[in-house]
Amino acid sequence: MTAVEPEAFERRTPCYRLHGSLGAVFEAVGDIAAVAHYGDAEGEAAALRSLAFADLNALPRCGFKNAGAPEWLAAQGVALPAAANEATRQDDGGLCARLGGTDILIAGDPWGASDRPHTLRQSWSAESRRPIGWDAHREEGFSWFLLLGAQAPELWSRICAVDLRPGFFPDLAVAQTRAFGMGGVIVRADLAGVPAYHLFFDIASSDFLIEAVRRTMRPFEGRLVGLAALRSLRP
Amino acid sequence: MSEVGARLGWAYGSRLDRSRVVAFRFEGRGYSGYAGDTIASALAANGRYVLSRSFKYHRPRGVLTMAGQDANSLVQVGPEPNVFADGRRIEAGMEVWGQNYAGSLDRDRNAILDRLSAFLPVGFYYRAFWGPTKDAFLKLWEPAIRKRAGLGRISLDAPAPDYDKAYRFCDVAVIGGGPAGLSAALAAARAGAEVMLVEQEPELGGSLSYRRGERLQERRRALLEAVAAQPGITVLTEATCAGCYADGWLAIEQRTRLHKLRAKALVVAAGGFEQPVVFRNNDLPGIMLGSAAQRLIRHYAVKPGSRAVVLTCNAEGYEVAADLAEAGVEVAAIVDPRPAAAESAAARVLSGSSLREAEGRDERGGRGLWHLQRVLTEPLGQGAPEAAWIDCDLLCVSGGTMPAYQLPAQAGARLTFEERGQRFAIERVPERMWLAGATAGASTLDEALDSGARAGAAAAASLGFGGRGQAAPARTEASRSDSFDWPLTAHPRGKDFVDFDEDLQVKDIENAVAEGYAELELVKRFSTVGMGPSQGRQAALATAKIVAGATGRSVAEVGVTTARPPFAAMKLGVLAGDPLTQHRHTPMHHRHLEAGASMQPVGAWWRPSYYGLAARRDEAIAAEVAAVRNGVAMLDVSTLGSLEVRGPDAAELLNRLYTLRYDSLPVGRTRYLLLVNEMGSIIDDGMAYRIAEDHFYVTATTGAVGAVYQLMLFMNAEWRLRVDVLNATAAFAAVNVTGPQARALLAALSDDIDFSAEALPYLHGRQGRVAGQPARVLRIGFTGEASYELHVPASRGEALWDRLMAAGAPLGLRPYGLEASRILRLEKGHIIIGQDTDAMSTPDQVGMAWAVSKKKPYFLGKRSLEQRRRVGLGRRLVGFETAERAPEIAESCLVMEGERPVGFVTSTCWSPTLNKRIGLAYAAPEAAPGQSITIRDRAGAARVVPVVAPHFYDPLNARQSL
Repeated sequence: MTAVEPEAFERRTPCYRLHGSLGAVFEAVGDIAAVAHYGDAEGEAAALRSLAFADLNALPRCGFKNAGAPEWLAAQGVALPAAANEATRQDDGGLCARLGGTDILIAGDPWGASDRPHTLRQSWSAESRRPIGWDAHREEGFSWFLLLGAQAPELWSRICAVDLRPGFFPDLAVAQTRAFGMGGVIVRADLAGVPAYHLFFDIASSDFLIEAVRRTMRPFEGRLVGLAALRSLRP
Repeated sequence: MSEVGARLGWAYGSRLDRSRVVAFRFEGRGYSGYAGDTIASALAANGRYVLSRSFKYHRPRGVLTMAGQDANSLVQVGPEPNVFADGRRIEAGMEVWGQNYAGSLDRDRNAILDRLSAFLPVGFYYRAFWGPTKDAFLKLWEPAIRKRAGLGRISLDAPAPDYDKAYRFCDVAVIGGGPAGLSAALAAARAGAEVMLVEQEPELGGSLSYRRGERLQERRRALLEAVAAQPGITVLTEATCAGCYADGWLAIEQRTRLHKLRAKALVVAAGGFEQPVVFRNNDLPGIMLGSAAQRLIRHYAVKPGSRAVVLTCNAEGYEVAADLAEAGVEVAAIVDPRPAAAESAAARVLSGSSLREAEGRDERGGRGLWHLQRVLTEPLGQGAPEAAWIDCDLLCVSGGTMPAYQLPAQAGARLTFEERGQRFAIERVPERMWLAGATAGASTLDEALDSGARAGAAAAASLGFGGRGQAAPARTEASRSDSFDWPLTAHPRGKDFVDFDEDLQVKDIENAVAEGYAELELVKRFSTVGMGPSQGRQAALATAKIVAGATGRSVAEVGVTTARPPFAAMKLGVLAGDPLTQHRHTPMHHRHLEAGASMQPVGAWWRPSYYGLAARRDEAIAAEVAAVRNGVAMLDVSTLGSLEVRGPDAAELLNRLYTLRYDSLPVGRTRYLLLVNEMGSIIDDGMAYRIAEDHFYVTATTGAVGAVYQLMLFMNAEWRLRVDVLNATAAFAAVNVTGPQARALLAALSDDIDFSAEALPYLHGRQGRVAGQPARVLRIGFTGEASYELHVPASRGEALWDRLMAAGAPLGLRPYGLEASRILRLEKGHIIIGQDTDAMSTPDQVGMAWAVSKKKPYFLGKRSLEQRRRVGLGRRLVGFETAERAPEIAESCLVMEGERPVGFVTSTCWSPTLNKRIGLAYAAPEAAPGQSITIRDRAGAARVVPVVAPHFYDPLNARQSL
């Protein structure tokens, strides 16, 4: 991994300054900089099983909605969930969440290896057949964070009115709800047996969300972690 | 006396850690207690019973319930007002003060009000304070009342605790951790249900924690061990269930946290409230509930007095007498109104008697109200002992029990009155709720345990756990906590308090009825009975009886007042929770900060107001305006709403929603959007850029985009159009590059968009790359100069900004903020929706009839617009100007015709470009350029200003179309 400066890239995540102020070291993921670690990758990896929070805004994701979108995605080899508010794992380690009958969210793997969302968008743009749905601009409009660890359900109890305890919100369940007073999508997709919750919220509120999570995590001694720590959960 | 006061032996004091002495101060004087002591118990151990002053008459008040249920114990702890002294544990260095006094707690100058009480009858404030002059209330009385209002002192500098909220879920919630609650929790959990057990006290056990008897204590220990060993039970202590709402939603306050518990079934085993008895001076310090004395003895090892009288009508009082005797208190008598009262080994029993009045002493031993000194008995019938004074410094009152009805009542249950036991009972309990213990009328331990087990099992069974639950059996025997039909005749000299919180006497309730307020709810509103911190826990029964007696009805007919959440006093901080407020940043937010922007909130967004020092604000804004007019400048407009409207019927959706036509808009063109509601009033505007036949990029105002998006979704569904609507506001960063040099700047930054006036004229749009970023370019005009809105993916917004700044430096490019933007648009005469419009503004009124299609058969609000047009204009938005600086002419100033207001100023500013004050105002519909209007300025002066066309700058639009 080569350390990079976020401003060397044309695309930038909304919170790179905040992470920088917390000692983050960045690495390139395609055409954007992501947090590799905060100076203690081993300590961050150790925190994963307890309580950790990662900013994945730099990683690829996409979404398509409206008539024709599910069929087109299925034709591209995307494993679609059968019903709304369900998710599936993809062959490349990514996720597919069905937010509605024809509203599909696709995220790459959480360590930055998969570029499939980008290739899907390129294919979609080049497609001449209709209808194939519409680009939902999820990479630009949805922030992407990952909350993981055994204490994550307890943290959820402080911020979200939906019952997200493991027994009630199983692996690959999707909740479209509110947390910290704003709407968003929560997808549970455990990583190597660690409870993991993907958060897709308003990207303009990313600074706010990180600050709010850090504040809420404080009593639990949760940590911010970078991609280096997340890779320790890679199969 | 030791430094921690007189304490009983080691068999007492279950809450104390005697290994740790804690020093604190009360009223500026040092005291000590043990860890685990409350403020009240530590002070009582030191012989200090007066904690505060009463609300109205400033009478000394002390321990009443020892359970945080009454206003008598409210004190100030540091900066925190209204703390229950009998609930808050002492901490090292704690500074505690009494409340509601002038001078000192011991020497309250306002105590004179007690002697003036004859002049302060119930409801006097409804008739007083209206004179002597017309404005006397506002100028004289209200300031004086406000000065005296409130009990404690609020400090704005007080550190805020870390309040937060927690969302919890369970199958069965059990409210109350007494024997019935414990039994219910065990039964439900054993059936397989997930149980949340909520207890107000620091420990489980309820009354068993302070009641006498080794057998009881053994059963308590067994219950606690069983609960601790039982999987599936989560215990919350020091937690109060404050509200019971629909769908099993319970609000539970636990110190600084508000638990929002969602329970599928609910068992209320919240116990009951021991009742005081009404007689003259029944509020003297030294008079307390029997259970309060028991709590002082068993929880805190405090001997509550030297010589006691017990006033009771049930077995509980006799237990209190035994406890007092065992703790070394001489029990002078047990006063029992029942003709054939029980025997007691603790004291002589005065059957068929009650108390007529009590007398107190002052601090020096003379007559006063500082502490109880003696009580006067009163025979209630023949054969009873004659009236006599009994010396005592402690009176324990056990006047019966009121079930804790508040939570069931909040959920819809009703109260009924049992004449035999002179007590209320709860009926019509809603579904998925069960009652247990004293709340259900149980009074013995066996009854409580049995009712708890049945309720817990039934609650679990209702959810499919275990077998079928059994209903609780009806109570058949006399209760050990039954009440009595205590005499409630007003004492001739009063001070027979029904409601301690509000200093309400028997005559006050009677007088309220005599005033014509015969219904209890009206009595409450007139007299404020039950409105204090105790919420009528100790007053409801007596009040109902007085009203029943005064109106010739039964207590059951009178009932109690409506129970509303919260059940107990809650801090606003607990309700507010963590003071996190969502904020939104544009991708260029930090660039604005780095450039020295003064930021301002616009909804959740933060936007630059202007760039520069606050001390030179006006200069900075003027320079920004000049940059737009003379060179090139740019504004971050990322907060503007961005909506993707796509699909075969996209044009049809816009046609039906907005006032202009969009099916005729060619691809590559932009057109103004005006949205009116079904009343024909303007609610939003924006631009539509037709990217493709089936794709419109629509902008909306920052504040309204959410509502516009919802409206689009709603109408799209209703009209069943083939359209996809996406709110893409946060997905795009947007910059408005404007000024005579704007084209030159952008032309140098793009190689695939021709920015020439011929290729990209006014009201056209293009897609391509600008400054290396994929962009949508909208040629529009809000400033009056040539303007290009660049919309790029949000992740590229900062890079776009950086590149523009770098490339624009030779041209003098500078960012401008909202303040300059508002001046620029006003110079041009563009309205801002919400500022220049209100809920009644139509396009005709604001001079925008041109923006309403006359050919379309339908659009939202068309019919209303046509009908309002027939009625005629009631007002018109006009421009005005004056060469004077006239800062007194401001927004909202009235436009007058004689003494009649006909409109108001909506926008005004000093135009640095035109060097005059300009503005928009609603005026009479006849107002037209060449005439004048009269504005009543902020100083109240009438200013006559000429009416002009609202397009102050470049009225022929030559510059924006360049």
